[in-house]
Amino acid sequence: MYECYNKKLLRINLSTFKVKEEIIKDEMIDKFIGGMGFGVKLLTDEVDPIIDSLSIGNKIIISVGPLNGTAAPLFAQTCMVTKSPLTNGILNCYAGGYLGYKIKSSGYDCIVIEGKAPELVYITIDQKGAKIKECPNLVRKNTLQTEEFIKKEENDENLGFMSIGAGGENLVRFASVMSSTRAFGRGGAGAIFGSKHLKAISFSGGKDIYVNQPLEFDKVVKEAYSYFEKAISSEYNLLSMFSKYGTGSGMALINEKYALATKNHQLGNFEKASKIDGFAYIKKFPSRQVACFGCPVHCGQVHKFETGKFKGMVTRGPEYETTYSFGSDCLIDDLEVIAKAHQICEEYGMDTLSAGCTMAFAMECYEKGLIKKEDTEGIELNFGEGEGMLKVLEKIGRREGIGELLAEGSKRIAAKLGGGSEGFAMNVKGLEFAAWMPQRMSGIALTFATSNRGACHKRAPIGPELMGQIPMGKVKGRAEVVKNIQDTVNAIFTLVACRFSEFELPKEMFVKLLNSASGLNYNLEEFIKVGEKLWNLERLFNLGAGLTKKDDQLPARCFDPLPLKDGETRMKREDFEYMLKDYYKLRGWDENGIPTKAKLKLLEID
Amino acid sequence: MKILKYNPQKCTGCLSCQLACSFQRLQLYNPERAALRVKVKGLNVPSLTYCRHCINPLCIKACKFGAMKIINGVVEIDQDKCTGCGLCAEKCPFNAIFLEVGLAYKCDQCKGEFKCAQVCSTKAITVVERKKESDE
Repeated sequence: MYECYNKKLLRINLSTFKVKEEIIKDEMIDKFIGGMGFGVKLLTDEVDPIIDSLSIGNKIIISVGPLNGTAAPLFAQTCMVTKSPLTNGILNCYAGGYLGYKIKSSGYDCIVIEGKAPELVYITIDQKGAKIKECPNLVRKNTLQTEEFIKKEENDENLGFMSIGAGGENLVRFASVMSSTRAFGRGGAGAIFGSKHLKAISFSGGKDIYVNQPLEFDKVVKEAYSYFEKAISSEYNLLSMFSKYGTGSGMALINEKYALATKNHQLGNFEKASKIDGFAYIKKFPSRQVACFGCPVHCGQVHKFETGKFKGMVTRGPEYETTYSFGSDCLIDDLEVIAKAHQICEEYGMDTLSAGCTMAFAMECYEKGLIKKEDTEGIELNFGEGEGMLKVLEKIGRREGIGELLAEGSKRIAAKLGGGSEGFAMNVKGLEFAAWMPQRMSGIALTFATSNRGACHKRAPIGPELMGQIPMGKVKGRAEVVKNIQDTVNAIFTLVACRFSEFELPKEMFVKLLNSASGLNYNLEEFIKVGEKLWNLERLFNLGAGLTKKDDQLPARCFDPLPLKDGETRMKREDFEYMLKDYYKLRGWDENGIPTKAKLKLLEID
Repeated sequence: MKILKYNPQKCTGCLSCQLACSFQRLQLYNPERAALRVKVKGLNVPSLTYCRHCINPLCIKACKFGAMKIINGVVEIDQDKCTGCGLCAEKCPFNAIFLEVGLAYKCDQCKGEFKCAQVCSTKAITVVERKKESDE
């Protein structure tokens, strides 16, 4: 049993510089599986929800799952759980690349970071434990420079990394943690690193990874592979498109449906979309496909900007969500500017979604006179103003001038500026919107409103709504769809699966992979129930942090008329309220969104 | 005689080949114990270290223990005779022989199964017939 686990947790206290190895008990694995399960369990047990997220009491839980590091396809991700500086609630965020495998092969399933270092430090982790090292010379260095420095210092070219740039050090509320070119993007975990004076963590790896029944597991892996092979070779399939042209290739499809958030969500169609989508990058610049560890989908695209205004730049991405946030949402039709914004975000360590969405909000405030030219030190910040956008973006990373305000994220900016700006600050609980439009997709509306980490697209029924398997705007029965996907995605995040895996793998396959790798004996119902349990634990944490039913609401703009090709559409408030009420009921929560005692008992939550 | 062919432009750097190789060899997962290695440096085009199964292999000449031989064109190491001295690895012009404590290991083409090529989703690694004139 448990062969695919290291069964080890490393607890690192940055205040005392003490490192302690703890055994992960069978009971913990049996109940919470791994990944997000470990993260949510430990954070909700150990962190008082009421604390300031940037204070010393917050913790960072980094975890992998039973399948990371094996040949199971689409399990390259790593999970990080902390209290978010953007939402004040619980955050779980993910990055792909090689990190998950590096952590697992360093001999740990979970790393807990607590306390606060007196000066900037980095941590090296190998099979023998961890070392904490001061690094004054890395102050304000970008994420790539940081990785290169540590590689040299540790004399190891093959380290796995987590690091922050100036964004995290300056406590930008949507700062990311980078792992080479992959990002723990959403929710501001980079600022928590910054608040603890933690610049980076390196993982040396090298350890063998075992499974319970190797030959049986190998068969299940092959079966899982076959689903992706079939998808990739199909003509009309999202993963097939992503594998050839990157995630940005979905833009035309979404734009056609008037569901591409444009001009700070005032419009659902960007007439210049074809100038900035995945195809446009490939057409204009030499590109090639790249993948995360063990992934046959290879949705990544590296672009070489051999000509143009940023000659010499090489990027992995931008991904679809970034071409929305800095593109359609800001009315930027220059693909080079969007790629540059993406690169600035990587270097400073900032979430491209929140940064771009906050920028679009700032542009509208500028247009409406709520932000004035003297506030921006003369920088023009109208919609479509690419040069201004890039300048302001760097100011955010440095928290300089107007950047000081914008680094707070749209919710806090709106609270400060007033003037009705709350209605078009596109966030829920403080987390800025992903690329999708609640006005068009009812499942998105309900997911954005109810997700524990804010306006998050990871738990939304995007595929089924977009591909027409369920009608986009229908409200009846949508609460059930949303609840199911939230619980399912939480369950697969205990395995730290890539979100795309759920597009093709039947739910049973996740359980089969888990059981044959670990020797556990989960059935599907029990597996999904773990996801539901985590959802409720997160909810309780958020309630404890002071969030209420009021935080399950969408900004007023979502209820404004939205122009379509012919005529307009609008989401009715009563429709939204109907879905929310239905959702609370299905969840076993009372009318204020508080889990009932009976529900908690059923989920075995004390 | 079949050998591997590598197209770096198609390689996504996913390391599935190394996962498959370590599993084939040891029934565990450890890309760092695979008999071929993809090198990914930042966003550059990757490279692959792999055995060409040379017609006149320098590794066999270097072995002092008679632990290496060609079987049906495949250069193999006899694990019982290998001492892990590393002379073969030193002489390999492709750096395609790897060392563990007391043992050298290399690609044996999985007895004709070529697991690395089987799992390569972009066909960056393929199995081709060796051209007669090539003599590595």
